[in-house]
Amino acid sequence: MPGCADFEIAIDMRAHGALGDAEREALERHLSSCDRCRAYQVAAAETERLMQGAASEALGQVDWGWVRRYVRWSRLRFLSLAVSYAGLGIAAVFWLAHFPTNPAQARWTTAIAIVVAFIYGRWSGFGLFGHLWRLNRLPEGRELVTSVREELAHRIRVVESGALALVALAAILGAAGLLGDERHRLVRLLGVAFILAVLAVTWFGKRRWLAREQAALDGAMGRRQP
Amino acid sequence: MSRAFPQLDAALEAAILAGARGRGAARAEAFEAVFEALRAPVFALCLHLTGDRHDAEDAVQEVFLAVHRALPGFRGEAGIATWVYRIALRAALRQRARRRPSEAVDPETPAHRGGEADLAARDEARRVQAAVADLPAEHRAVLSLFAVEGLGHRQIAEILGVPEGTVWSRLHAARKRLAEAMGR
Repeated sequence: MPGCADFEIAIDMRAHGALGDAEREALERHLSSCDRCRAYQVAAAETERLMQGAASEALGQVDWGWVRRYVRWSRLRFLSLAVSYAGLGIAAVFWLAHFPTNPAQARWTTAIAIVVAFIYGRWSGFGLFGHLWRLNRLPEGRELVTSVREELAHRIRVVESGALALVALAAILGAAGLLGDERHRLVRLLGVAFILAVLAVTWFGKRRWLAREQAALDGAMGRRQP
Repeated sequence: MSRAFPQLDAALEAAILAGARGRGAARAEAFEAVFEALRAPVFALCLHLTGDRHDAEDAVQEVFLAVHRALPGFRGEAGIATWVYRIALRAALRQRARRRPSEAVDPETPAHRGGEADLAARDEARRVQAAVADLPAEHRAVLSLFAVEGLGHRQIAEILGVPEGTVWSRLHAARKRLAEAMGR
């Protein structure tokens, strides 16, 4: 004997045209005598009506021209990214062709060039391309919401393990920096400072961001009502 | 929400896929056809999922940028609309987290046209939208999809990647949870 929970599901199915004739008749008979299910029916219809009404009103306020422009401008960003990478490649070839003969100058310029290229490549390339790659690479044959959760959990694990690797690298560089001559020590300690800065941004920025996204998926964001 | 936008039937989808694999104007026209057909329901879905018009607009921008990038390579395993809704679901579910906790979310409400009844309706719509946006992702997703006009339960099941029976049981659980959240 179906209970009210089954009839409530039948109410939703009927509202969306998924109920057969026999089930519809059974539902009508039940509704004629069940206040609780009639209340569920009214509440369900009202919720959908309010949600659709809110969307209709908000729709009229969207600047679709801006959305189109955003898509066009973002395409230009990809083009400018390709041009800047090509420029970096040409600059690298030019720099290698005129490699400084002074070893000290070579070390400093090499270190600076690597830092700049890493920062630029990481933020511009992996940020934008990685984001769109993840949006478009939708899992086939798997539940979508579960895959979003799993992807977030995986990215948090990657950030955490990357942080451990950075700590280890900083420790090794720091220990090596305490040895050797004054010039080597300075370069290595600067390297340690840079790695710790990246670690701080990653742990307190990226990881916190991902953790907040996880909380949002669980409905645990917590918000103040207007 | 009236369906003033073109429907993506089989013929139009085939034309879009052919155009997307072309160059220049053909590709632009293909994207424009997808944009025109789906911008309204995608926005509605993003609004229900995020609970905030500005977050929904940000999510819509990301969705159509992703669609623009990937449309030429889309192989058509699912319908274009299903594919776009899946991207939208993914983008909007994570959009809310970008709002700082200190910023109050202000869901769009029907414009106040006068009278106590309209004021009450506006407040009720606001409460519903805020309550939906605070549900766990599984419940939020199914409620939001069913609130988008023109989406059938089979397509919703395909979008979510779950059996049809799961869609109905999840919708029922979501409504129960929403009622609890609203104190009913």
